[in-house]
Amino acid sequence: MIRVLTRHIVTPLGGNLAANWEALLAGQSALRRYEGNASLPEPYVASKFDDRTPLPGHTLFETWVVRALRDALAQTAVDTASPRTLFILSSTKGNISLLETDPATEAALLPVAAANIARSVGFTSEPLVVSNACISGVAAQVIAMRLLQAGSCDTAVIAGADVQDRFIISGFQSFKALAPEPCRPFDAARQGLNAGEAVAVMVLQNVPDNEVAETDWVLLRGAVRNDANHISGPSRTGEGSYQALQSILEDVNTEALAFVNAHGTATPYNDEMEAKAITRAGLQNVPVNGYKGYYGHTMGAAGLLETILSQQAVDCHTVVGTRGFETAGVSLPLRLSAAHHPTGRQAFVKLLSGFGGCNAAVLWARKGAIPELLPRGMEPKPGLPRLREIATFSLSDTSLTELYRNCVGDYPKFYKMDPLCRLGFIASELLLRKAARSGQEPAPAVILFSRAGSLCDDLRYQATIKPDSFFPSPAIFVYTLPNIVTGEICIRNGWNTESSMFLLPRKDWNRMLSVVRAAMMDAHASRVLCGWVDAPDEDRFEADLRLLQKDFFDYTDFSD
Amino acid sequence: MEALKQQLKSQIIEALNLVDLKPEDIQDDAPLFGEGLGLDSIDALELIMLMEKNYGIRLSNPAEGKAIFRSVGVMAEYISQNRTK
Repeated sequence: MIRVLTRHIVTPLGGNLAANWEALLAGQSALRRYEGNASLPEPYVASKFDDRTPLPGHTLFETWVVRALRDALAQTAVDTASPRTLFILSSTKGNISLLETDPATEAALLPVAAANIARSVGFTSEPLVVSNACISGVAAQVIAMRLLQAGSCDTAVIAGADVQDRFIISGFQSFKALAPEPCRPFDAARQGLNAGEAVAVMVLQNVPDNEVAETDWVLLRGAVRNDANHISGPSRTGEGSYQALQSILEDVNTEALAFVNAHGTATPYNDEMEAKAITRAGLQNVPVNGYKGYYGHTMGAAGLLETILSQQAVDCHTVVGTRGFETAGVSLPLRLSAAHHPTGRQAFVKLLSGFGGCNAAVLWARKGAIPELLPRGMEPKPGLPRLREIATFSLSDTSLTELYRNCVGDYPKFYKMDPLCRLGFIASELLLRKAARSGQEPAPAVILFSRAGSLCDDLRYQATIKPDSFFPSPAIFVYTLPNIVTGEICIRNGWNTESSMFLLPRKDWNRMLSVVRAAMMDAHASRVLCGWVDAPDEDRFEADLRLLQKDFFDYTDFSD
Repeated sequence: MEALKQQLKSQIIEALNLVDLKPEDIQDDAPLFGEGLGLDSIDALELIMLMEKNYGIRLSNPAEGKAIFRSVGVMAEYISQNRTK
């Protein structure tokens, strides 16, 4: 079983889980109004840390993560130096503020930040960065679960964080997505989200069932699915979120669920979309809540923070009230409440959705609740699949616009894309052409890897928010999330499959295939479009993609 | 007004990366969204930024854009009445 060994959160409401829980029970919120900030002309409401002093040799982002990891691991026997201990970092923009003063700095890249953090904490294996926009914190749990099940590591240490400064806040302002008041999830008067800062750490291990205590938290299932609809707007039918839910709810007794902890960003479209997905998945009688009214949207930390708070809530027999909610403002009836409620149930579902059309869902239970939650028993351990090659395609340093004109030509959205998306789009088109499709094949998952991620576009966006010329461009900002390329490919092809983006320090097929094979343990996936897409600048780029078929289960590779 | 419309068409093509279009391809009264140029919600936000940057017009509520971005003609009319630069 995939069990939580330890968990830790640090937020503006408190330096550990106990302090946060006390604040939450008392109904406190970390959201404050910020104005008169020279670098951000418009006022905004956010949850931010007061202490902004970095450790020597580290940025603010790295400092928060290093401190939280040290505190989380201090009371455990986790051997950080073991090659079997994997560090997974979940962040959307990491050290992005470094670009303000030094556009050429490598330290702004997430794999570099992850390596700096790993060095200080003492991890020796190469970190894995999950950069899947706002679902990163749940997507990180899903890949950690799979890698543990695959036997790739013994312990997965996941940390999530983001710093809310000029870059992210101006971007969401340009999207008109920020509320001028503390946010109001699912409320009729909701006006948008608030940005938030937090650090969250969760340590997972794969432990034989008989060593797991009845009160231990077990990660039972997880899924990531794309809307295949739009790169910034969620599906109007909740398609991806619904499919992720459907995948994790097979044979689940929903009466054993204490609550669904929704994304609940308080943007008009997100909350409406979630109401549809939750209802379509048959969860309309399960209480629904959201924590954004206490903490804002903590981006890379959100999935971990909100999962840990949900575990704590169940441990304390409580369904936390949705702060800011008053009058239902979604088109379907959900069991929402501003007040805390008691519960005796010991399992929950956590949902997240994000730019790039991605959605994630995980199913958590205390071990003692599993028989009631899964009356037919747990499914057999998934095998580690072997992957057969259908086609490969690579390209580098050529004119993408010419390739588009000569080989594709029917998708003017191409011109709106940033270099990373153009690269991934063209390479995927040509790969699929080589695979000689009949049109009947199952849709593949899209799992891509990169080092520079969205760097080209990050620099272009940074140029729109200069102090003397502040006109943040929403069309550029949206591409500052590296996973958008996976969304563009899903949208082009209409694929409601898993879409994931991981950042690594270098192209390494062994490493990429170990992640892809683990991800393909998802029983619903039969094919995967995977590989390397890297565009550190507009003239220097490389795509190296493979279309693979899950061939058969090879249980000999499977180590418990 | 004619000059403003021409200028606006070039600015829209540039801001929204409508590479295959020329200013003369956009009719003054043709709808920009929906069937027209096939623009989407991000393009609408980008047009809000275009108005702020080039004409000093601030729309705090994106819903106001719907009426203003009906066509280049309507947009030019609104800009000429509200521009601050």
